[in-house]
Amino acid sequence: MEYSQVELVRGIRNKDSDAYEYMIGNYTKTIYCLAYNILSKSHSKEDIEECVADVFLDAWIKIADFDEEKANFRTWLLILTKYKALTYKRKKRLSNVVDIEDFELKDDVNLEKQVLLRQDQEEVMKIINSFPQTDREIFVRRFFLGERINDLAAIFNLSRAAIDNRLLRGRKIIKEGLRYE
Amino acid sequence: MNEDKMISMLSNLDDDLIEKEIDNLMGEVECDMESINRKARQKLEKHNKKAKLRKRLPYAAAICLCFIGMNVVYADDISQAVKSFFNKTPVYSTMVDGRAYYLSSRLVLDDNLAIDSFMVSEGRLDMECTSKLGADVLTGMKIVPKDVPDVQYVMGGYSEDGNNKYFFSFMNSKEKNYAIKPFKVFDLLVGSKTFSITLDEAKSLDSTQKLIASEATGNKIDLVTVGANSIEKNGKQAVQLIASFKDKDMQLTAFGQPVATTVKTTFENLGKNGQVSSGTASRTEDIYATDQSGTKHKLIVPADANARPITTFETDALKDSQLTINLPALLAIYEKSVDSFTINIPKDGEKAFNHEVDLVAQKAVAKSIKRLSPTSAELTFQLNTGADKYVSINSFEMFSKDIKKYSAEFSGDKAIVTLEFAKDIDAFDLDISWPRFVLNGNWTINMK
Repeated sequence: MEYSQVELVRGIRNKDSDAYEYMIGNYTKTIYCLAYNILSKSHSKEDIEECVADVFLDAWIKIADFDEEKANFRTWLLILTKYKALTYKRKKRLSNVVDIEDFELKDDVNLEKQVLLRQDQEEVMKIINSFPQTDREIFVRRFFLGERINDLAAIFNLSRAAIDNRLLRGRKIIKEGLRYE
Repeated sequence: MNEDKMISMLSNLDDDLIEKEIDNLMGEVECDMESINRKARQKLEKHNKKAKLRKRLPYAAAICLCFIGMNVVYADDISQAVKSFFNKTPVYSTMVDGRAYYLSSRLVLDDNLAIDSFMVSEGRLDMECTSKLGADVLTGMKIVPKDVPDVQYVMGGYSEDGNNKYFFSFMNSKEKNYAIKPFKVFDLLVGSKTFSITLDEAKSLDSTQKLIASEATGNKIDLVTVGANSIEKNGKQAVQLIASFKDKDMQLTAFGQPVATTVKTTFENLGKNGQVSSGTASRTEDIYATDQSGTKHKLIVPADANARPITTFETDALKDSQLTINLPALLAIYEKSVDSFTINIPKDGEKAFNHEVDLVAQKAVAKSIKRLSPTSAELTFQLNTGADKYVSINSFEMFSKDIKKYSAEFSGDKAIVTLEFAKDIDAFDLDISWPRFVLNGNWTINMK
């Protein structure tokens, strides 16, 4: 059965196990990708899978906290993923000292919704795919998965300014492509 | 377009487009969908079982009264109050009604499983264990009493603390309820293994023990008798507090004055996944005793306490100290349904209907109902309208097939319940059950 986002959220709210299955089937890859990016250096494949499974259960339990008027369900799942993955990371540390930076996440779900027509969405994807390989990966990880700029700088062995520049360049190209103000 | 707007716009792209991009990003990284699906499903199952446990545990504590044989020497000088304690059996740090069997010390069964505690009494079968076998195997455990082999007790619910420690509550597999008869010898079936285990019989309180009933109090509450049994633990004075209720369906929840003055409860009907309820914890204030020199001693919950409610307390007083215990209050629960009535919801606005509810130990009045939306309403209760001014209503449970969820707040003499229905309705039947009470007896138990 296909669910729209509204139907999926309603299904989870009503504790419909089919909706749970659908959520797993539809979002595992995205969630796994983010969890993998955060945990792969320090955790096993099994740990990452546990983390992903935990995210689905968290979503099931905390669905009352999700406000569909204000956020996209996938974005909300990714926020849950970041918190869960960082909790896994923290647990693994020998010291209990937590870097407060870890929790400075871009998780403002109150941003005004910017909805694009399907045809514009496809255009955006086409533009992103025209980026050079590294820029594309940085762009996707920053804007689709919400990874931190500092982390991306470390991963790609670039300065923060260099990451900022590449993201800025990408945004500019998209804006021009869509003829945005 | 700033970065926030870009994030917002891109985060609202359709899932299929994102997934395609994620696929590109993942490249060679292997994502075992099947394994993740399995783990996610197992976590949900475990969560649902825990949710059911939270609901079922109170039932596990529903122990039928079982009178001990009347051949106990009832000397004339034993008061009726003390006699009422004779059906009580101390097991671990708690007390149950009637006969009980337990494990006197930790039992290591093999490299993978050790039973930390085990107790069985009428209607109650609890086990704590440490095991590397994992919840999947352990939740399939079965208990078969040797003398009644056609009866099997299976998992009623469980919880785990993450360090291979588990708490299990069992139920009758045939009757699907908590009809449990105490037994001494049983087989424990775990995975492909069977272990034969023999328990010790717990000794009921009797006249040979130092049982003392509380002194007459100004706050007289007829439905309960309170007392204490003096015991020694590690060279120090310890006490077992005893509460004996006139009504067999009234059970002790905790000794002491509740910390929370406002109690919030929630309920949600999850359909085929069961029902989940939660409530403010019944944590209580510390209880104190005073010795013959006037020194105050706190009644301390033993570090090895492994059964609830706690009735055994340690003190730092020397073993022959003559303590006087002051017990301001206790919490009790009446484990039955008490009333059922129909409520008509006005199309809009508020409607008074004043239905009196007899909660056995105290009374309340369902005062009014206010329409909030086609599928929600607010119900107001006036609490503590009965004659017994020393018994106050702490909370109660509500059920209706039409209620999808509710949240209730009990504070002072008022309770406000916000109800959410499964569909638009104009009337519904409401069952009131399992009322909890604070019994403000202000008892003094003089152990001198």
